[in-house]
Formats: sequence, C-alpha cells, structure tokens
Amino acid sequence: MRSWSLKTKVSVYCLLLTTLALLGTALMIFPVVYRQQLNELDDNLRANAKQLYEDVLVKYKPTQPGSKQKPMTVILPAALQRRYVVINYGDTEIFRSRVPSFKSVDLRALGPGDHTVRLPDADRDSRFVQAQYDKCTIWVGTRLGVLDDTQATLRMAYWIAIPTAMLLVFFGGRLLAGSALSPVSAMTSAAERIGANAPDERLPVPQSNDEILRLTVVLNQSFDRLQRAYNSAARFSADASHQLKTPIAVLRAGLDEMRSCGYLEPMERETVDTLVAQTRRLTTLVEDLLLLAQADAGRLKIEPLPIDLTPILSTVVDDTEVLGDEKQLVVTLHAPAQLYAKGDPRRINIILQNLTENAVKYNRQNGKLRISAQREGAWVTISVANTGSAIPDQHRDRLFERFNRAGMGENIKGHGLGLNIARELARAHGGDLVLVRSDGEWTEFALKLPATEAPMLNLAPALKVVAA
Amino acid sequence: MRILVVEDETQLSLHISRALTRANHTVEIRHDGAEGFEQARSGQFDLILLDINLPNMDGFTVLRKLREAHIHTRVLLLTARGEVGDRVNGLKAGADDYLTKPFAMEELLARVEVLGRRTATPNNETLLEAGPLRMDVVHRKLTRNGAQVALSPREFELLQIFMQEPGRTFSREEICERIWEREHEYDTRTVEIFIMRLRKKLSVSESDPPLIETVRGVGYTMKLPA
Repeated sequence: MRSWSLKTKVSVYCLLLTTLALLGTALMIFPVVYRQQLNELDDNLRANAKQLYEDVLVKYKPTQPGSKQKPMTVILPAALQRRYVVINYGDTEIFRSRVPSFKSVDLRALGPGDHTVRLPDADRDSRFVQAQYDKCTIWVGTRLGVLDDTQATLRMAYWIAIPTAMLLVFFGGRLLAGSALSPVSAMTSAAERIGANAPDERLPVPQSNDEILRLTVVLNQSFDRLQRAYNSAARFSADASHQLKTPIAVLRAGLDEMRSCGYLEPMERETVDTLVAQTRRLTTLVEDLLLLAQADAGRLKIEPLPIDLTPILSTVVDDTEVLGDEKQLVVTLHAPAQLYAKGDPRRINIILQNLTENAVKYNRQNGKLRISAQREGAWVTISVANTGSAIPDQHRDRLFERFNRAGMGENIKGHGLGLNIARELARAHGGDLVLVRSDGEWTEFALKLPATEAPMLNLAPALKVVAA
Repeated sequence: MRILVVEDETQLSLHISRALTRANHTVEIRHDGAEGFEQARSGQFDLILLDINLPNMDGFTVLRKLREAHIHTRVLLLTARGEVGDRVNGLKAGADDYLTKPFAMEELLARVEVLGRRTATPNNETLLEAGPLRMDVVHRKLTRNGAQVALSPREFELLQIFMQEPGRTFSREEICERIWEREHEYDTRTVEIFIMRLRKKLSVSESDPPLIETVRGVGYTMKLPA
C-alpha cells in the first residue's frame, strides 16, 4: 500500500468508499422497500375485502336455522379468484377458497389485523388481513412470493450495480486523480532535469490558481536559493584552487631556486628537500580537499573512457611491493589477461593507491597482500585484501567518513581522507567501494567499476610521458 | 631563447625569470593579460609562458587572440587549476603544453627545452639509446646489448627518466615527483628501493660498474661508458 502511486491510492479509497456507501444503502433500503410493499399489499387486500363485501356480501341472506333452504352461494369477483378467501357470517363459515393446503386452516385464531402465516405444505409465507363488515368477517390472503420476487430483483440489480459502480469509480477515480496530478508529474520531470546539467531550468508554473501553483512557486524559490549556494560553492572551489595553489607555487619556486644555486651545505640541502616534499604534501592535500568540495557540490564528473586495467594493476602491484618492502609483505595479483573498465585512469589510480597504501599500513610484519580483479557481468570488481588485525565493529560504519582514523592507532600516518575520497571517486564512476570483510584473518575492500569491452580499435599501447 | 613570461604573481615570475636566465634564456616579464598580449603580438619571442588567471585579460583569451592574429609563437600554459576541462580547453585554444602549479622548476626548464627543440626535431622520442641500452617507449621494451631485459612498469618509467637526459643528475625528490604525481606514502626511500631493483636487473655481473650511479648528497645519474 505504501508503495502505491497517489493515483492508485486515490482510486482505491474512492472505490472502498463507494462500495461501503452502496452496501449501506442496500442494507437500509431493502427492509424499507419490503415494509412499503407489505403495506401496499395489505391495503390491497383490505380493498379486496371491502369490494367483496360491497359487491357480494351486502346481498347475502343467511338461511334461517332449521330451514331446509340451501345456503346462498358466494361467488367471488374475478379480481379475487387468485386470493385465499374465507368468509364467516356470524360464527358460520360461508365461503373458503378451494385450495388443498388451505382446507383446514383456522384463521379465527389470528385475531383482527394483518398477519403473516405459513400455510401447511407451503414453501413461502402468506399474508392475511381480517376485515369486519356488519356480521361478516372476511379474511383475504395472498402468497408473499410476489414480494420475495421483487426483493430478489432488487438484490440482483444491486449485484450488478455494485461491481459496475466499483469499476466506474475505480477507473474514473484514476482518470480524475491522474488529471488532477498531471501538474505534479510535469513538476517531477522538470525537477529531474534540474540538476548539475540544467541548473537554470525551473518548474513550469501552472495556469490554475490552486495548491499546485503555490507549491510550484515555493519550490522554485528553493531552487533559486540552492542554485545560488551551488554557484558560490563552485566558485569557491575554483577560487580556492587558485588562491591556495599560488602561494605553494611561489614557495616551491623559491625552494627550487635555493636548491639550484649550488652553494648549500649538505644539511641545508636536506632541509630544502624536506620543505619541497612538504609543498608536495600540501598540494596533494589541497587537491584532495577540492576534490571533496567538488563531490559535495555534485560537480565531481568522470569522463568515462574505456581503460585497460592490466597496466594499472601491474603498476599498483609494483608500487605496493616496494611499499611493503619494509614489512616483508608477500604481494600477489590475480587478474584476467584482459580487463577493461569505464573511467578515468588517474582517478582509478588514486582509489587503488589509497587502498593499497592502507593495506600496507595496517598489515602485519611478514603479512600478505592480495589484489584480485575479475569481471562479474556488467561490473569489474577489484578487491584489495591484507592480513592483520580486524577493524573493530564499532569503527566499521565510520570507516568511510572524513577525517576518521577508525581508531587504528595514532602512530599511523595519514590525514584520514583516503577512504572517503576513494569512495567518492568510485561513486562518481557509477561504482562503489565497500568493506567486504575484516575478520582478523583478512581485511578486504572491494571496488566496483562499470565494465566495458576492449576498444574496437586496438591502438598501440598508450604512450606514457613520464614528465606529464 | 627569447621568452615572454606573463604571470601576475610577482614573486613567482621573478623565480621563473631567474631560473630561465640561468639556463641562458632572455626573459621579459608582464604581469597583466592585456599588456602580455600587446607584448606577444610583436612576435619577437620564441616561447611564451602564459598564466591563465590574469588581470584584464585571462590567459585563454590572450591565447585565442594571438592565434587569431596569426601569431604562432609556442605557448606553455601555467595554471593553478588542475581540472581536466582546463587542460583540454588550453590545448584546444592552441597551447603547445600545459603545466599545473605548483611545479618543479626543473620540470619547467625541461618543458621549455622540449618546446625550443620542437622546431628542429619532433618530440616523439619513442626510441631511446644510452650505452648498451635501447628503449622502445611505445612497446615498453628494453634491450641490453640486444638481449631483452624485463622491467616492471615503475622500473621502466624510472629508467626512461634517466635515458631521456643521460648525464644529468636527478635528485630523489625530483624522481619521486615525476613518477608519483601525488604525494603519497612513496618517499625518497621508495625511490632508493626502485633504483636498487633497477640496478640489479641492469647489471650483467657483480664486477660491472652500475649504469646508474649515486651522486653523494645530490641524487642519481646515468653514466655513459666512455
């Protein structure tokens, strides 16, 4: 129910309400109609009785007691032929309809008024009224089958009407809800277009002056505010890049000049070298922060080119072996001969460097480091695993957060941005970076990148200009 | 070479100019885009170092207007913005090369040399030779006296740096910088390990003098047998 569209919800609510209303009406109407029909029937029977008296019985002369004269025969008017009729004159029954099941029924016990009676051998009730005219007591009755038939027809009509109404209401409701919500759909598709690609576009303002119009106006104002914030964030990263890197460039140029002038003492030279290394560190940090600023502003874009992962992986292994030299790590690579992903090789390198550096840092002496890559359907998974102690459970969730060192010990260097940057870059590629396991035996991270086929034109291996 | 430096950061232009002068180039400096353009239009320079963020007229515009005026002096763009888009824009606008700030002065000088040579020989040095070594940069193959030597990717890059400029001394810091663009855990010690591995692969016998020599307190150089 929660996942239903608004349109469906509205139509289903309409449907339920209508069904309830129709059933409620039916429950109320059926007895009322029955009552009404019964009253009409009673009136009818009474009229029959009255007619019988006025047309026939007024002229009735009873035979005197002891007289040999034959009793006067009562002949029913045509309208009453189909009724049950019993006529008593005084205490003497002078007429009874010739219906077998009616023969022995004593109606006198019923008393005056209207009665519903089940005759013997009958499968349905009958209705009788008793009327008193002068000395004549007249009972006129009829089977209630007619009424039952009417009720059945009525029920039948309802059985047809309710589903029809349900269908009508459901689809009509959908149609109505759809047309009422069509400005919302238009807004949704416009809002989807508004993004980093079309930040200037706004929601279409509807002609009608209703709730949707007010919502549109409010949303457009929010988009304006967001765009201003976005623009200033974008300007910030461009400006900050320039503002931060220029002084580093001056510093660096000055240090290079000192180094090249040739009259430095060895110790001074060592200091200058250290300072140069620090400017590089500063540059990397500035670049990392700008990269994160771009990611936050949604401006971190990757130009996806098909790239051959094989040389990238072997270079990473090469670096990792040397980095792990001190800890005497055994580095292994498992990868197919051909593996292509869509992405930016520089960025993928950054991700892999971050992962392998961590795998060296948090490894144990004489430990193992395993890099493996394989294609799984539309994805390439590169996993980097190292031996060493497990990451404590309480730190796993925060592993990818910024400036989080996950309690891995203060003596391990790094600024705590590595995994965060790696994940941002992986996601900018449309992939992801996750911790697969960390159980004390292996700690394994998996990088998922969109896979691709080898480019059709197999150009000569890309020329790497070392100075670039 | 006569070089025009258009850079608004005075300190930086000063250092650049000193370094270029020491390398026997004639340098003129402008701190403003419009002035830089006027100066460049004279066409009397062999190379222009052009910053992108400039007062009055930005570097891209200067470059575009120069090319429109049919001034084809080679241009090396300098920028603090390392974004790929900038690099592509710069090269599209007609720049010959692109260098992001901060940069190593040695690298700037090397690029300047390459751009200066471009008139005579094409830059694509795909076959490098040094003593007994022959390096095929495109197919990433190395032979020593005709026999193939298998190098790991980094070892290959390292040797390429030496073979591009045999006889020059490279500091550990410069090597580190040229191989790993970003600062990482890789430091000068990493370079030492790679040099050790490379030497081992290149040496034929223990008695053989190493091709890559350590210059005490400075760095490494590749010495060519006389």
